[in-house]
Amino acid sequence: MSTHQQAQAYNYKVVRQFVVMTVVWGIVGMAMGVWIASQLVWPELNLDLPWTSFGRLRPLHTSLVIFGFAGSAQFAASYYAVQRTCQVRLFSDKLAAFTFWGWQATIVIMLVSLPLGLTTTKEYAEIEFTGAVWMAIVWVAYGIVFFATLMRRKAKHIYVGNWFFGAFIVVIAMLHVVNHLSIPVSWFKSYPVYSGATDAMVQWWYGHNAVGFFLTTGFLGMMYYFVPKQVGRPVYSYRLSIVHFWALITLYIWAGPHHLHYTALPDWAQSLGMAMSLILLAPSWGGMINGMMTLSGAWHKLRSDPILRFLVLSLAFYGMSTFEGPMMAIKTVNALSHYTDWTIGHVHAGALGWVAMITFGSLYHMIPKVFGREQMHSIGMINAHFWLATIGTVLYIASMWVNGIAQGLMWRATNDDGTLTYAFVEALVASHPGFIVRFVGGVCFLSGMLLMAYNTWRTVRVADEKLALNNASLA
Amino acid sequence: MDDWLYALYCLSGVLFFYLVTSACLQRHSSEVDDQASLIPFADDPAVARRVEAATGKPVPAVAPDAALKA
Repeated sequence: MSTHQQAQAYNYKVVRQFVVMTVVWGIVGMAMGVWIASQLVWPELNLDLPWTSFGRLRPLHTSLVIFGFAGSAQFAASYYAVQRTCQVRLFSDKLAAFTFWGWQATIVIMLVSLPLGLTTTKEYAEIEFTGAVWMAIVWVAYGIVFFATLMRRKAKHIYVGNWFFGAFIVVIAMLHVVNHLSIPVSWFKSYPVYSGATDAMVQWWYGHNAVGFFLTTGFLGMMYYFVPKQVGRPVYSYRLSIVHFWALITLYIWAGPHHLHYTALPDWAQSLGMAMSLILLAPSWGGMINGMMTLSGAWHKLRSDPILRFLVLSLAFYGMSTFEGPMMAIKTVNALSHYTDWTIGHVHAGALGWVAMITFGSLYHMIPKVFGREQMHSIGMINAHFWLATIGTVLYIASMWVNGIAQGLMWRATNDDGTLTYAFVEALVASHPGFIVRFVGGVCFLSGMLLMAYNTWRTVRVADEKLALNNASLA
Repeated sequence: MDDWLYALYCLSGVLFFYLVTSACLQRHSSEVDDQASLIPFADDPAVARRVEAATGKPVPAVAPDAALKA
């Protein structure tokens, strides 16, 4: 590639790197999930070692799938979409490369430190002080690359997908810094500046918005770019997409207190969190309907296009989990669901059904383009992946619903004299069949991910440099 | 928390949403919305032609070289 051509072409190198690492971290993170699911079925698989105990591997699983898999996917998608919708090369190749290597270093820090027991103990923010500072530096570099590219755009209008990506970058920076404010006592040990209920509230303001912004807003940016591209139709209502954006941004940030129902948090804050969560249903469904309706006049494409099936099914799961979430935020429902497997099922309806499936659809769209192929190596394998992922998700969610409701009912059951009807261990025994079904669902989902890795490898190993350059120049 | 302060708190959220959404939608005719919604196809002439054929809307596709000149 000549220097002139390189200057003219989009920067696909960093996109390719993030795409490959999305698949790698997807396999590692999901395999970790299957392992800890199997530990709940067969406790011997904790191996009697501190590093492989459920308590240490569970945060490693969530960190790897959230930051490794979903994070890399969003870097790839945002870098790809912002270049193409702004019709300019990404700002600074060096800084973009730094974000790639810096982000991978962050995930490696998690991979090493969490099994060693070095943790803040804050959910989804377990990475200890030094790692968190490094993560913030990489994130700031990401913001510079993204927004500088946006500022150099050739198109007058900023496409709505970029609004979502931009909000995701800004809000995650804010959440990460505020929640990680702490006093370090060593490189990997620190104490938060907050205490008691304030600490809990800050944590769940962060925790809920990790879901709201890391696992929703960036993926909506993905949806607004890749669904229209794959369908070959513009988004159903651009006006609705703007209302969707502002409504989501306004509401999501207030919903965190629903994680702290019936705790020491002031009652008004709990009620506010519940009310905001219920109102949040409107923009969530507005966005979901906007995405679905983009297929108007093109529904027949679902018959032959498994990539589109992934994208549409992800929207269906998004609709389902954003209905379930507000319902679970209602205090009386939460009294039954909280601390049970229902919550785990709900999270995975979003994580597997929405986040992972829209990632799969977007990757299958992007991979041939950035590696210079006409299409993926095997369309049949994409189809098989689709069914494995769907069956895996359904088994996971259904088993956790059954377990969650059974646990909630057994825990609250009392005898006439006020004593508990069931001991905790009885609820645990009743949950065992659900744990097995969840494990089977996880294995199905992971198998699909392995198929994707094989399909990607077969596509990448015959990558056509010339066609890739051509795609990057013309695309 | 004081009831009035609580009400004010909630109202300020509604007001923020109303103001920013109105500001963003201001001067957004349906033509502007149409053009903006077609941006994802604007750097891909082959796809742009298919979208034009399917929707009947002209896609402002930029000539490839012009799209990437600094």
